[in-house]
Amino acid sequence: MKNTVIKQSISIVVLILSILVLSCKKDFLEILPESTVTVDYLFKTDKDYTDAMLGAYRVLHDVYDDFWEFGDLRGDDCIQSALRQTDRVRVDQFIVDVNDALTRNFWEDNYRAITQVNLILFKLEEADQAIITNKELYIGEAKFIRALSYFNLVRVFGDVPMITAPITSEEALVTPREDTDRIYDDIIIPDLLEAEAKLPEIHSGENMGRATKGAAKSLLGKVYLTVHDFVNAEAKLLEVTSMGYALLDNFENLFNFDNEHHSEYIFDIEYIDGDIGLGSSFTRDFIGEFQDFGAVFRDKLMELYNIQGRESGGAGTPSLDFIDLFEPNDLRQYRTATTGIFDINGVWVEIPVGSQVKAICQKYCDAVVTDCRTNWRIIRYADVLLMLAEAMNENATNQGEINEALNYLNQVRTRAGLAGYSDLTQAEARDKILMERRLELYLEGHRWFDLVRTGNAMNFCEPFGMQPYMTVFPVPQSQIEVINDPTIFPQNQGY
Amino acid sequence: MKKNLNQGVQSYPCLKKLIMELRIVFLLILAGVSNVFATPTYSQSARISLDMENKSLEKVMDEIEDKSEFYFLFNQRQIDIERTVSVDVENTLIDGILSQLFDGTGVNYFILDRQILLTTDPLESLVEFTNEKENPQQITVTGTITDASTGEPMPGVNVLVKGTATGALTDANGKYTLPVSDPQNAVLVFSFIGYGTTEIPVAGQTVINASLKATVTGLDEVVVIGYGTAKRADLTGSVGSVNTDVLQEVKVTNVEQALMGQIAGVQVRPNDGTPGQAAQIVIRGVGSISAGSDPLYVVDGFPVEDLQGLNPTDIENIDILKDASATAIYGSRGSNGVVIITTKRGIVGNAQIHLDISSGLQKVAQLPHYMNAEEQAIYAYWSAYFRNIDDGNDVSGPPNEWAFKCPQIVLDILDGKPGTPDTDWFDEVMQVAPITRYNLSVSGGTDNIKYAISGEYLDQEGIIINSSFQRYTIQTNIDGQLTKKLSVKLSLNPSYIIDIGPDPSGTGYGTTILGNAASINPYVPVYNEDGSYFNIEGLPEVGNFPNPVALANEQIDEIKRLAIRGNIMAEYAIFDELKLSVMAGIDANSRNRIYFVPLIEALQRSTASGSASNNMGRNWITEYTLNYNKSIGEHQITGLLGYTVQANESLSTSMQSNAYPNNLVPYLSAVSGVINDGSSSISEWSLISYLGRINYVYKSRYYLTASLRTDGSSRFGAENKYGWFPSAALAWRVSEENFLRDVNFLETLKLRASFGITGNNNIGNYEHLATINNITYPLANQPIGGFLPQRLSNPNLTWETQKSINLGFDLSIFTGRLSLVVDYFNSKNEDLLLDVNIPSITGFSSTIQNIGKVQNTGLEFLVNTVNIQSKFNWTTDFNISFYRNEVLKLGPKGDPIISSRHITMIGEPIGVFYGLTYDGIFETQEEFEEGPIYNPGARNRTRLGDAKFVDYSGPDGVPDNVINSYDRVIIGSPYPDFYYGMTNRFSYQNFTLSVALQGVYGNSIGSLARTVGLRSEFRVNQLALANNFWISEEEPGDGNTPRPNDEPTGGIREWSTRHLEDGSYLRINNISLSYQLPNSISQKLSINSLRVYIIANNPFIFTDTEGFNPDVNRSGDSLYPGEDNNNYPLAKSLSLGFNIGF
Repeated sequence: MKNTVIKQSISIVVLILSILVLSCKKDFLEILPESTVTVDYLFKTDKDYTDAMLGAYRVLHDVYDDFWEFGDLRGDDCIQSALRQTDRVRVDQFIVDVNDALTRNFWEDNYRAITQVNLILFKLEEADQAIITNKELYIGEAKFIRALSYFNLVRVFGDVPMITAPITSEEALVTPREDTDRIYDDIIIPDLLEAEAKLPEIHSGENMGRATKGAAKSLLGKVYLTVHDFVNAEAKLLEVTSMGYALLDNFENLFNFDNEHHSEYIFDIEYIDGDIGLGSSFTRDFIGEFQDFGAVFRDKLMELYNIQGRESGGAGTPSLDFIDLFEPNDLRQYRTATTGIFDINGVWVEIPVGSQVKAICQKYCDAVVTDCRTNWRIIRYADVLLMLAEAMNENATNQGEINEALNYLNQVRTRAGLAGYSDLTQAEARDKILMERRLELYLEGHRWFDLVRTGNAMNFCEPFGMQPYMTVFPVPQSQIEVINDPTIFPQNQGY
Repeated sequence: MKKNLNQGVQSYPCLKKLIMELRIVFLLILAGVSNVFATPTYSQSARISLDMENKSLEKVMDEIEDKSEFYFLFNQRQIDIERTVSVDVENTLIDGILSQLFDGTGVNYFILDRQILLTTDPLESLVEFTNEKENPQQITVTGTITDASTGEPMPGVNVLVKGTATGALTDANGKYTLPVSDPQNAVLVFSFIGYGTTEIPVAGQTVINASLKATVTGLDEVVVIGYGTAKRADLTGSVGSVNTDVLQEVKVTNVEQALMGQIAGVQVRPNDGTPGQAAQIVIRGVGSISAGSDPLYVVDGFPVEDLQGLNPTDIENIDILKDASATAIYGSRGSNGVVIITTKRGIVGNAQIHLDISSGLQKVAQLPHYMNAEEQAIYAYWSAYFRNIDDGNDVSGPPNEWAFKCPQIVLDILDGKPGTPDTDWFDEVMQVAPITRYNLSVSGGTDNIKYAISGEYLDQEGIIINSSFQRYTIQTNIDGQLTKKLSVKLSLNPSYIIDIGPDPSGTGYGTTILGNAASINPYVPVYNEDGSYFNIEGLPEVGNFPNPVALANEQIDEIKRLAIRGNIMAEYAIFDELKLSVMAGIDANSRNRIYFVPLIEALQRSTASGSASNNMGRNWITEYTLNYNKSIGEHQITGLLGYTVQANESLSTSMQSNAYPNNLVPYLSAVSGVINDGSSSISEWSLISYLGRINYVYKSRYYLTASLRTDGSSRFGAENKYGWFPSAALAWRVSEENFLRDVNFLETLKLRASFGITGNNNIGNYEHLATINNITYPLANQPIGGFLPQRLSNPNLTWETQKSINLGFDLSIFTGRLSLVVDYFNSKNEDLLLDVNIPSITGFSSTIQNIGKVQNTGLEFLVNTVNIQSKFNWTTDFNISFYRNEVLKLGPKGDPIISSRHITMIGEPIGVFYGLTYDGIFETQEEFEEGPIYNPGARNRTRLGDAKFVDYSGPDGVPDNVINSYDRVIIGSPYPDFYYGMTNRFSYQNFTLSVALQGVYGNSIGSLARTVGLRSEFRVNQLALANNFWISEEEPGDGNTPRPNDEPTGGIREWSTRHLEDGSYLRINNISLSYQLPNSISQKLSINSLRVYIIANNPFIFTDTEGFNPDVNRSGDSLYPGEDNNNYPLAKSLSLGFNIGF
């Protein structure tokens, strides 16, 4: 009797055992992350492509957060006041290090954007238009972002690897730097032409902020200008003038951040406030240094813009020489570069003598100091007008054509409350256009590229330490080291 | 009955006395001719008849004893009792019979009354022997022997008069009675297997009680080895143990602290003094670069995530598996070592009820020294002065009119103006904090049901104001023998924890309590005159720091954690030799955190903000094991087969808002649904394992252990789902061999050797998959969702592998007075997960691959000695460990990993400090002109009076007299040359004292606190060690401190040896003094036992370190070891308590 009980219990135990063993095994070790998803499961619906595209736009935040360091700080008008930010001091003083984070991040971030759109384009090749109904739009948008990223890369680094499809790390290790010319010819220009064709004239409503036909044309104009193809530049930029864009009546209205998608807006990197990680750091960077200013000026400044929080950056400081370039009565000067402010009562308050920061730019000043809603403008219509003037002037063969070019320049000057130009020589016009760009577009990421593009960098920047090879930045040392093959991946000359 | 003097404990007690009484007689013998003498008593009257032919002497002596009242005393070595004799006498006096038996044999005989002493000794020695004692007297000593840890009486204890054969065993009640002949000088020796031998001088006492302590290194001690137990004597691997006595002595608040300094090869670092915070444990060095170095914790057979809900008082013992032969049974989780914790279980007997209450005060153990207001003012003055000088400004005028002004308050302080503040910010944010523990336990049982139940309440305030920790735990262990063959064990451990206070650690400008307390100049007050917090913002003399007192008092950071860990195990004896066990367990916990920062001006936030987060974890296990145990002759075999499945799930939800309308309600209910950010996620892993182990012992001398485990894990990539982890070990108890039998002083000598392969599977749950990150981008001023890839997939991703060899020996000599355990190990950790840099044109800068290799070698010594064994007892446990860590392989090209202040490179330990070498200052113009110069030509270039660094190299690989990144070298190691621990225990009667210490030697600390405290910024409080600075060639200061300069030059803020400190220290971890009330008194009080104790934790530290605590480690990241970031300081504490048993 007792034996039977034992035997039974053994059988039961064995049974339970085997059930558990067997039932557990299947798929027990295959756990997929439920709160995220792997890439393999995506790119099935039209919405997936939109989501992926937004990822690419989001990378542009990283690309453009410090873009002013290339576009402005490297140039002649902007100085780094806060010396503790040594990386920025090095950019300012032409002593950048091959290991600096600025260039490393810029390289990585642009290629992250490129990777994302390459993936989108790769997936789109197989995509059925019936399901992915906005296929053409996505192609246009992806190519716009790819062209923009490559344009950034070649202007900053010169020759860079040309990647147009997803690649493995093994492939990446043997991919050489490609000639800048070829990148313009094979990617940037064709991509923009295709983007121009496929992007809509305007994104309205909920899509406001995405790339448009106008953005593609304007950028293409800038690209042509950069490669000195003035004929195509003029043609392309002229097309933009008939798309309904217009200068705002008042320069100051550009800095009403309640409405940044106005008639002068062409393409921005979008930021919003609210502490959800989608704000810009520009106000904080550019507002000057509160501790440095002393209580009186600081409090007036904070009161003026209703600034909360008291951290500030001391960057983007206009040089006093730059302020002197403004003609008297230039309506842009106070906003662009000033040694004091009119407080809330309209009383002039000077930045105290002895402050490290001698002047500030108020183009990004807004109510919150961190995480701001101030967009980064990539192209606005004033830029297009000035580029058009430049292209026409370069193409001009007679005074009439120069004057026609000057008309576009004068639109910008008139808004600034200044008298127009006429009857300048081509060379004079060239200088005036460059000067106008300098005054109009300070701290919007243009000056350094304008100097390089027009061959003027050494003329203006040699006093600050520039040497002839410094028209490009060093390629990040991290990339040199990981590829470790100077025959395909050399450092830029001089660095 | 014959008495053999050399045999047995019950030898004849009166012998000495008899001999002594014969002193005069022996003197006569010396003078006389006869070798026979007897007093005229019984021997002169008693007559015996014998007729024995060819009988053994023994038989004859038996016959004499039978027929008379005589009995014999002799030494068997001297008297040949087998000798054949013949006797035929009738009514003869004993003297006559003895002369017939012994004349001519060389045996002398002495008769006194009824005793007959036989000896071959010369008469002279007998005389000397009898002369030894001047005042012979005999008393009877009685007493009770108890177990020191339980207070229970111990039957069967051996009690012996030292140096004699006189002895007795204790009875069932632990009582003994023993005659002692020389009560003034005699010493009683108490011994019992598995317990330390105790000696107590009699000193005339008639009652001697003793309590015996189980020995830590006792060979019969049972060690838990993972899926089973073994006697320490039978171990083949390297296992360190800490038992309940030690836990009781140190009275720590969490388990990890109990291990501090106790076990060779186990470095326990209390790097964070937050109440309730676990100390960091590293077993045999850091073997992983990115997958962590935390050991696996197993509580009552259940591998768990942490030990948070465990009350140290409930622990019976902690065994730490160190070598691969021990850890390989835990497979892919074994390579960082395994900490096995066994909780107390009931034992048969009446209910034992213990109430233990202790209460104490804690205070910060060590403080860094910062400048006071006057010192800081002097520093600030010169700091402004040199900034102006560097800018070419005129400094001839009044300092408050310099281009860069010297703040007015600095000048006021320098002028000695009364009423200027001198705030000690550390003092303001710290307090003397009480700690109280209550513990009630009940245990007991019958043969069928045994129970051990305990409840604890711990209430600890932190030494940072407004921080505290409360813990409620219950541990219920029930063992039932259901039938003869079936038994069940239940362990259940619910716990509830309340953890209050924000993390104070940090350095520099920020929002941390200690970071700010260290950095704020003493010139400002804590409060305004109206009692509100002073806002330290926008002042020319002090940086913008949120007021740390407000941070501590006004921020709400409350974590509440409810956890239940429980498992049940059924064991069924299929045969006597074969047992089947089934175990199932669950560890579930829920953690809720409320965080709120109110809108207070002094906190310098623009909004009140807060968050609520919730985590829920569930970890379940099932385990089936078959144990086989069989002895055949001199062969003994034990075997284990097992199958186990474990799965873990972790859910988290969080929400935050900055839309609080006011400071009244810290919960999100106040924000009317305006949530800024929120997330919820789930993370899971699963593990299926098969395991087996076999032990074979031959003649109790030769040992062989082999084990094998295979783990399949959800964490591994598709190509590497299962891993195999074998091990083998050999041991040889040399001391059991015949050729060592006669070496009297040698008790045990065992040689051990093992090899095994283990793994580390802490590689993240989904790292092998190409997952995405969800992101948003604003369109039309609204955040719109999208995604970005998170990483590239890696189907080959797998565990990190450790191959480890261990060689060691255990030695015990002089009856256990000295024991020594020595181990050498060499572990190679391969397939280490590393972020391998890849070209960023892939869209990623790195991928995780199994590529690195690190080696740890080490030597460990454990020495236990019994120094004094008498009425006063003194024992010492000492351990010391030396180890070396070396990186053998890194990414595909072997490039070093430079992690800001650290470098990890082949041939060096992981994460050694990397930076410039500080070389004093440029004291004179001549020195300055020689260089080298930092950043020549720039605003921040080196000037006279600035720091000098060593110029090692330049862009061309040769020194270029310029200080830049090429001059960075390895400047120090965060790893000590050796670390050690020592515990001394003293006992005298009912008092016991133990002193435990630990220390490390030879490591460097990377002080992030110094990067701020020596940053030469006048708005930030500087360390006092910069007080004696350079002012001019004529006033060079201490010759090592650069000039103060608010806009620093000369690279003074570059990471250098100036930021390193010598991390060597010696800390008295614990001093514990206790007094056990004598049983006689406690019985009168109607209690079983009463012990009172006083405990000092961390009372003293000897170190040159400037920070709060030399045991620093800012993050768990192996690439950033040994960084001091002003972590929550360690407290020293003094507690009083009592333990009462009913």
